[in-house]
Amino acid sequence: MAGFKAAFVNESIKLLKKKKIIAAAVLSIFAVLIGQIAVTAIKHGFGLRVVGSTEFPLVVLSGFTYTILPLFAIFVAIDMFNGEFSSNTMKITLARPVSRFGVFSAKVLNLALFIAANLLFVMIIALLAGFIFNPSSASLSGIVSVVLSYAATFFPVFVFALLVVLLSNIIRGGLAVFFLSIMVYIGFNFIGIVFSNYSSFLMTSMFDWYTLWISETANVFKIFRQILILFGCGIMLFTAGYYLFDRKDV
Amino acid sequence: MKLSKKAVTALSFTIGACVFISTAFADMALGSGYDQLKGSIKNTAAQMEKGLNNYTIETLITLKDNGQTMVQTSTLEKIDNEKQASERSTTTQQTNGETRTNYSYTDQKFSVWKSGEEDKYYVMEYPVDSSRENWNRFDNPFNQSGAAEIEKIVDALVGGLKDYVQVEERPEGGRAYSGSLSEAQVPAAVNAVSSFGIKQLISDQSRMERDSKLPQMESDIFVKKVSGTAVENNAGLLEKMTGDVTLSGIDKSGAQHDITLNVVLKLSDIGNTQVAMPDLTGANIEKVSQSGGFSSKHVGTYQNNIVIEKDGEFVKIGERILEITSVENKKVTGKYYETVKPGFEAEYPNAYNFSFEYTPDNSNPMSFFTYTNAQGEQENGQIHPNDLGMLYLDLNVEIMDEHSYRSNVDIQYFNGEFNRVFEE
Repeated sequence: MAGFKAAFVNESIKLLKKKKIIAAAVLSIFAVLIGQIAVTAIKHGFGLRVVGSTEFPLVVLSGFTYTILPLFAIFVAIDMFNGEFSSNTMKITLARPVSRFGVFSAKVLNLALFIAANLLFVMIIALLAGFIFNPSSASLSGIVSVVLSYAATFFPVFVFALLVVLLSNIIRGGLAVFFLSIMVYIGFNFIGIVFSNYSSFLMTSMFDWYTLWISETANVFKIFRQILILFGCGIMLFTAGYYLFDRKDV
Repeated sequence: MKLSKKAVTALSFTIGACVFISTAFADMALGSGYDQLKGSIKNTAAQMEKGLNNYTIETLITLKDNGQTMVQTSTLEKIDNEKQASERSTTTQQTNGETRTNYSYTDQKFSVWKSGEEDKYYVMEYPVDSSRENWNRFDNPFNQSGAAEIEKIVDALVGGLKDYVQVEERPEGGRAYSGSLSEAQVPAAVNAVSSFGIKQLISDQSRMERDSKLPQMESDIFVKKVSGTAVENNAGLLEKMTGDVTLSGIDKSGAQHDITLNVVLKLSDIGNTQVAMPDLTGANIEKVSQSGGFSSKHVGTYQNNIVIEKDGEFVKIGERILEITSVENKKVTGKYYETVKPGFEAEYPNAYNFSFEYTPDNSNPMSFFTYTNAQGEQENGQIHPNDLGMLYLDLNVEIMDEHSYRSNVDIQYFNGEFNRVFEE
């Protein structure tokens, strides 16, 4: 797999050179700051303690997973596929001595890394903000549950990103994929709320499944079922995406 | 054997799809504990409205501050759907230690109530022909208009918390539900809204009761714990539900308070509940009249001035006279006329002059009398007894539909209040 490693490094460097990474980082910091300002304002204005120091990252997470994170996952996924096709750099990538499967998995793995890194980044800032502003209520078990929550959130967001990868391999235009992804995302969330019976089929309804992981009485069977759903859905989308990528004419 | 690339792709796609679809279907079929609990609650409410002949509901609500009971209300309600009767007694222990009791009995014909402070029963008898729907029956809240929408909203708010409701099959049949949320799991929005709500509730309560002992919480208020249980019997009815909410905060003096609201609901004696009217023989009874509150003491003349403002002064231009000539068998008869002083006819052209027969029905707010106005048109009116020696007259009432009406307030210079004219 020497070829894969090279392709992976290649993709990572391309990703790091993008301005979007900086934008994602800046927006993440903003999200944490706004959250902290809101919490402090409520605390001093109404005397309510909305969050303790270790719950603050969880509050940030609940907002972040539904907004900035999927949005940037969509951006990055579109850049990796549609962007390269439209700027004709895909030829260069594919001309290297790596199989198409190698290129595809390198790209998907980088997408995964981006999501994980973004989550890690937000978690660290939010934890720090929590400790600085509400130092009284810190606890080790709280930190463990924060780490667990951020780790668990990675999976449904990654599966959603795989769906975007599939879309970007079906449709050529990057803008069309972007809007379609947003529509799908909003649609899934809407269906999940209005027809909550069918929410089992939607990965977006699992964006907040971290609450199951940190529950006092963990609902093991439910977590297990959701892991299987995400796993099955992930494999399906990955394979379908790869199949289309493999057959694509450059 | 080496599989072709196509075969591997197809195979892995199929495996993925199989795992995904079968688990998702299983997950959907299993539903969440929350959905099952909701089903049980709906079933129980429907049965309580219709289906169960009689039953007893006990409610106990306790508010504790750091483990010490502050307020406690217990209610015992017996409902008989067959006899269409209900009995209800309430005991409330207030923060200042006072205890209040209330008792009431209602059926098709009678309403009896008694409060703990006085040893006296108030009795109201309804006419046989009046259809009394409101004998304190249990109304299924899920059948009320807008309930479906509220349910959807609650479902959306509960969202990811649905799976916190754990379900256990009981060996004797039925299910046991339980769930608890600690500080970290209560969503921030729910936390903020409920903390704020309870804070307001406590400050309202202490404003109403002067010697309230409830702590005034000032800062660091948050929901510490929420928990609940429910037990369903083998007939699918919820027999017992409990709920606890603990709120933590710091008061003015800096002391830490944990305020716990505990609610227990019990459904019992299904089919064995006896609802009986209290024995009133020899008891101190006050009969409450109900012919719209009218009695022979209301017979007399009532007057209301027609006043206008002219050249910066109030000028009385005439009088409205309402004469109640008799109150017999719940029928009120009388006449109404308006006199305008000479010279002011142009200011008040359409003076009323009619006599009426009015049969007020206390259980039906939509009872009117009809009369003819100056233009010869039919209109509706209503009379209510007001304070001592006062009547309230409503004219030209517009009936919207069978449940609502609108008073027309555009009658000139008319406030509807009539004062008794006493001859001295």
